[in-house]
Amino acid sequence: MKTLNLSKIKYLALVSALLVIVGCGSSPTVKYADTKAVETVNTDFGSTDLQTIAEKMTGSLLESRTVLDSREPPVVTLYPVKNKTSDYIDTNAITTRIRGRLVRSGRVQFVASTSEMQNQVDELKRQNQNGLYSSQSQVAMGQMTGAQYRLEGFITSIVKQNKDVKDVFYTFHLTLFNNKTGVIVWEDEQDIRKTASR
Amino acid sequence: MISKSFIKATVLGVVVLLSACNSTPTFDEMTVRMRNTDEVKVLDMRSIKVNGLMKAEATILVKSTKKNITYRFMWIDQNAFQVYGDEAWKPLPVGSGQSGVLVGIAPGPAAVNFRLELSSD
Repeated sequence: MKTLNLSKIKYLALVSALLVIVGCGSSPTVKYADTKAVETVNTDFGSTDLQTIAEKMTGSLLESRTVLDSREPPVVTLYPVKNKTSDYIDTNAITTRIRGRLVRSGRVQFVASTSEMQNQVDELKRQNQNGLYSSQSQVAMGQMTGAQYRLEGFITSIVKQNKDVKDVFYTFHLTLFNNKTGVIVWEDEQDIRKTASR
Repeated sequence: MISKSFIKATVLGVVVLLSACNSTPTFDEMTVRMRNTDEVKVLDMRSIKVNGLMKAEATILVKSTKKNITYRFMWIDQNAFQVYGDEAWKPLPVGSGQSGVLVGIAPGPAAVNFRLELSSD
């Protein structure tokens, strides 16, 4: 009886050791995926949400009277989008994508945003204060273009869940202010609802 | 198994031929279906130029949402080439048994025509 137990223990130990070795040795399968495919790994804010929001918001802004009625593309600056959800969301990725699409449309111009301003100032100082650049090529101070409008926004979420279902409702809200008058000239929101169930 | 790119290339070929014949494509011809998306019926399609950018709309009827059906617009220039690359696939914003409108705005002024692409799991 004792011998049998001992042999069983030895057998189990051997199998466990083999499993550990195989587990450590195997590597995950890596493959490239379609960057445009719908991503449904979980209900967290994901690539599909980012791309959908950027497309919808860009389309809406391009149809606004501010853009349609401007003889020259309006000059806009970008403010950080506030993340009011309980999750970590890189809101800069959303706004930068929106800005990219608007710039590529040729219907809107952007100037350095608040977060990019320091680099702009540093570059102007570098060209004007160290005496290294010829006067013909150096960029003069005081020539920057002021933004006529500023784009601000926030993202919120409502999460409800029980043991079987999790429902997340994201709202991305964007507002365009006239910097001179403070008037809101355009505003839109994009809702996204994601549900995960067991 | 027929790949997505093969289907896309075939449809684009058909589009070019249709353009050459100068005939107006039907809704079915303007809809590129990848995999089985029979649950979605295209009722109407229209487009307009807004500030030089093409805006496309498609009214659809979703009979069932058992499958995850996705859509995107493909933009075509005056030479019948696809422009601005592939858009991201988006889930249909329309529930089962409901109709709704899919809206797309071309990223730039080169687009003069469009196709609606539908796909499923």
